[in-house]
Amino acid sequence: MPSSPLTRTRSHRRSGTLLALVPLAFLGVFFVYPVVSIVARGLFPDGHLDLSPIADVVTDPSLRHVLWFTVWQATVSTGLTLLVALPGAAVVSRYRFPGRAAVRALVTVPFVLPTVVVGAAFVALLGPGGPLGALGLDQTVWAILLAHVFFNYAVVLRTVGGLWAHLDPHQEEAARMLGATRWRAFREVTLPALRPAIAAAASIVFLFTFTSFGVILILGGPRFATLETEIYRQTAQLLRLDVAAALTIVQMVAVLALLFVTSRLEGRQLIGLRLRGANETARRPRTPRERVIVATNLAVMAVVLGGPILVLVERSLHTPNGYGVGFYRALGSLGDDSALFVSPLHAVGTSLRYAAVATVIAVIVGGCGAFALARHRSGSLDAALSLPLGVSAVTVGFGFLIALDEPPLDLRTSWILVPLAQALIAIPFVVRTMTPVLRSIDPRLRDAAATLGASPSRVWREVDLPIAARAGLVATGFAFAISLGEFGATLFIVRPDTPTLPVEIFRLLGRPGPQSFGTAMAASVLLMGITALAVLGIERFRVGTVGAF
Amino acid sequence: MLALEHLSVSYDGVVAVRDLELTAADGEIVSVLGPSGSGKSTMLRAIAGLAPEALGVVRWDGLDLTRVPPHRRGFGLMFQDHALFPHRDVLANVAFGLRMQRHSRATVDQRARVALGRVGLTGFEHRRVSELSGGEQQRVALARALAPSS
Repeated sequence: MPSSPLTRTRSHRRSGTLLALVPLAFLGVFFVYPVVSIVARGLFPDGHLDLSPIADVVTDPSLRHVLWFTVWQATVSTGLTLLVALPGAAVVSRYRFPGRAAVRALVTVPFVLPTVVVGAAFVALLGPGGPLGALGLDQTVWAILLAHVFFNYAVVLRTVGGLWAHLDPHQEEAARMLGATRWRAFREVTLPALRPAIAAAASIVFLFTFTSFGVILILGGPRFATLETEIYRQTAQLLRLDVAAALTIVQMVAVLALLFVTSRLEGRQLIGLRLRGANETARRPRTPRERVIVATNLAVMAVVLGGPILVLVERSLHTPNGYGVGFYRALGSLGDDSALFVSPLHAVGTSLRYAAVATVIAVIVGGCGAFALARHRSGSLDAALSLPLGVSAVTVGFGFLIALDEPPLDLRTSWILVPLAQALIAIPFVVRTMTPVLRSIDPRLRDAAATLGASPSRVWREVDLPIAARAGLVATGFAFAISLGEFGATLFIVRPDTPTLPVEIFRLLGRPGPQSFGTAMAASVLLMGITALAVLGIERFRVGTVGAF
Repeated sequence: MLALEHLSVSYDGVVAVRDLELTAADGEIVSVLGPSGSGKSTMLRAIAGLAPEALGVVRWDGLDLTRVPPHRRGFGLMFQDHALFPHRDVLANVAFGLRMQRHSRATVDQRARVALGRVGLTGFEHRRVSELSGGEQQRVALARALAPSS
C-alpha cells in the first residue's frame, strides 16, 4: 500500500531533477554550444566534413613538435612534482612537530595563486637581476618545470598525505615484526595502500600541467609552445581560426581521455583500507635520523614554495633608487606607456567587479548542481558538471570567442562575457566543494528531525541548509579567488581597454624596462594579497578537511 | 495503545521484519530481544514512519497511521548512534522538537532546560555535541526524544 514517506522520497527526487536543470541549461548554452562551434569550425569549415585541418595539425612538423612538447613537459613536471612532494607528504602526515597545522595551510598557498603571479615570481627568481639569474635558467624549460612543481606541490601533499595520515601504522609495525626491513615494510605494506592516491594525484597534476597556459606563455617565451599557447598564438596573432579549432579538438580529445582515466583512479580509492583518525597515527620524530628527515623536508618546502614568493615581494620593493614603494605608487598611473590603455589600479577595479559577478553566477549554478548531486548520485550529472574543470580555460575562451559573437547570442560587446567565462571555470570547484559536505549529512539527522515533528521542507531548512551554508561560504571564497586570477579564458575575450589585473600583469611583463617590470611585480603582489584574503576567509569556515580541489 | 498488524519490512530483497503482530498498552513497557540484524531497529523505524517500504498497519489508539508522515506521528525515537545535530549545541538539540511544536521562545528554552536537567546535564547547554563522551551524547539524545512530550 502506498504510504506518504514514499511519495515524500519521490518529490525529493523530482526537486533534485529540477535543481539539476539550472546547471545543465547554463552548461548547455555557455559550454556545449561553444564547444560544438569549435568542432564545427574544425571539422566542417565549409559546411561539409573536411578532415584536412586535423590532418594538417597531425602532419605539420612544427605542430607535431608542439604536441610532443605538451606531453613531454607534463610528464616530466608530474614526475618531478611527485619526487619532491612525496617525502613532504610523508613528513606532514606521519610526524607531529610544532607548527604542523601552519605548514599544511601554507603549503597550499602556491596552488591558489593566479598563474600570472606564479609566472611573475619565477621571472623575478630566474630572470636577469634575480637571485638565481646567474644560473641561466631563464627562458629554458627548467623555468617551466620548476614553476609547475611550485604550483602542484600541494596537490600531491594534500591528496597523498590526506590518505597517508589515516593509514594504520600498526600494519607497517606488524610487517617489521615479521622480519621486513623498514624499506621492505614501506614497499610491501604502505606503498600498495597509497597507490590509488598517488595515481590520482599524478593524474591531476598531469592534467593541470597538460593544460597549463599562463605559466608557459610567460616563462616559455617564443621557444616553448604547448597546445594551449599555440591555440592562443594561432587565434590572436596569426588569425588562423581553423587551425586553432583543429588544435582545440585534439586538446579536448586528449583531456577527455585523461579525465576518464582520472575518474577511474578516483573510484578505486580507499577500498578495503582500515582507516584511523589522523591524530592517532602521527607521532613526534624520535631518532636523530627522523629529525633530519623532518627538518630536510621542511627546508625544501621553505625554499621551493616560499622562495619564489619572497623574491617576488623583494623585487616589487627594490626600485632603482633603493628600497621603497615607488612601484606601488606607479600602479595608479599609466606611466610613460600609453599602449597599456589603463592603469593597473583601474584593472584592479575591473577585476573585483568581474570576479564578484562571476562568483554570484558560479555559486548559484554550482550550488544547484551540488544539491541535485547530493539528492541522487548520478554519474553522468557528476561528469557533466566536472567537464569544464578538465577542458581547459583556453578552450572556454576560444569557444566564447567564436560562438558568442553572432546571433542568436551576440555578447561580443557585453562586459558580461568575461564573468560568464570565469564562472564557467569556477563552477566545477563550487560543485566539488559543496557536494561532499552535502552528501556527508547523515540521513539519520533528517530522520531524527522528522520524528521530532519537522515537516520535509522544515527538515531541509533546519538540517540541510545550515550545513550547506558553510560549504557555500567556502565555495564562494574559492570561486572568487579563481575568478580573480583567471587568465587563460579572459585573455581571449577581454576588451583591450578594460583589462583585468592578470591580463594587465601579463602586458606589463611583456614590456621592456625596469619600470614596467617593477610595476608588474607590485601588481602581482597586490593580486596575491587579494587572493590570499579570499582564501584565508575560506580556511576560517572550512568544516574539517572536507572539500576537494 | 500501540498495535502492529501484519507488519513486514524488506529492502533490497532482504526481509527484515516478517508479518509481525504486537500490541502495547498505555504505560506498558515492552522489551524486544534478538540477535544483531534480526530487525529490532527496523521495527522501530517502521513505527516511527521512517520505513517507507513497510507493509501492514501501525495503529495508535485504533487509528491507522500508515498515511501519517513521521513528523506528525508524535513518537519519540532514540537513534542507535544518537544522530545529534552537529551544527547545533546541546540545548539547541534538545529544544528542536519543542520548536517544531511552535511554542514561544521562552517556553522552548525553559522546557528544554528542564529536560536537560532530568538527564543530569545542567551546565552543558552550550557545549558542542561533538565534544561530549558517548554516554553524555546518549543522554542528550534521550532528553531530545522526551522533551516534546514532557
